[in-house]
Amino acid sequence: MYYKNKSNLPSYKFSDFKKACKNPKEVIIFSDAYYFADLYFSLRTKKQILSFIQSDGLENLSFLNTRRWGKNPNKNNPIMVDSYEFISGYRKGYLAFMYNKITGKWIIKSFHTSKHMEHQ
Amino acid sequence: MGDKKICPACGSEEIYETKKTIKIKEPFAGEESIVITENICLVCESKGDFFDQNEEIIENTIKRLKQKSVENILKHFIENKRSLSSIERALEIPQRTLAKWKNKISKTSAAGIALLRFIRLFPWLLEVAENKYDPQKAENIMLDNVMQKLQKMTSAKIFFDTQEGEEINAESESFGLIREKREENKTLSLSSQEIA
Repeated sequence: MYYKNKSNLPSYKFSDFKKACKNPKEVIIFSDAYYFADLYFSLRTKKQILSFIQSDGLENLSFLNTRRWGKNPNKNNPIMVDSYEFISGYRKGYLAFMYNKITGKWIIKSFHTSKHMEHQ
Repeated sequence: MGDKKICPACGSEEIYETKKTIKIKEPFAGEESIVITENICLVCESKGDFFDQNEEIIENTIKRLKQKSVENILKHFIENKRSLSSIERALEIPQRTLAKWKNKISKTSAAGIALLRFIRLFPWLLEVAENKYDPQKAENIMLDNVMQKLQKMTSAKIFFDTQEGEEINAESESFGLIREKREENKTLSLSSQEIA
């Protein structure tokens, strides 16, 4: 599930996250991520978002960074957030997700167009 | 974690549930307002549909609006004297398909909905299909459409007899360029017919 944390490596195996996207009960999507996935990528339901990820819709996926989730109230259970950039059609996107081993849930924290985008 | 409702992000039990109204829109169908649930964690401030309460209502609303969009698009064609049978023939789809979609006898596929939207937006695509997707003819059909639109938008009066190709009055260079391209396409199209 986890990589030994070096600063230039993701905290999670992307394949584990992608596998979790097969089961909607394992993944929660934050409201903002949900809203922007619809606005920028026409992914309008949780099923569509997860199916898109699971079916390799995130093209040219590149890892950006991993950072501690700043709003985590439990300091004994640090949670890391992995961020990625991807391409889909003419759009460059940004995805951030995290995993809480206590609740057993993956959380899609962000899903929107990339700040570093070259298109549009 | 049992049946307790906890925040999936931080595990806290301090979750607040709120209702909010959102609008679901579909092209050619308008919009519909629905009420969804949003869970907010009072500890980590995470917001979302933590317990999958909204998926069904959102999906059903989208489905309903998509069907409405199909009906509106087909109604538009009928009202503009374009028969469904002629559209089916041009697009080489089985006869009665569109009537079945309109009357909800069969479900319109996602691909079908996308196709209907494109021909509703650009009805000249049907003419492209009628001309068997010949590239030069297709480009000419598109250019004719552009010229008609430009004519409406500008005060320039262009009289262009599409059958005889005679230009009576041209007032801009861009119209000249469009005309040249059309002629080039006509020649290319005739040459490819001769070879065939």
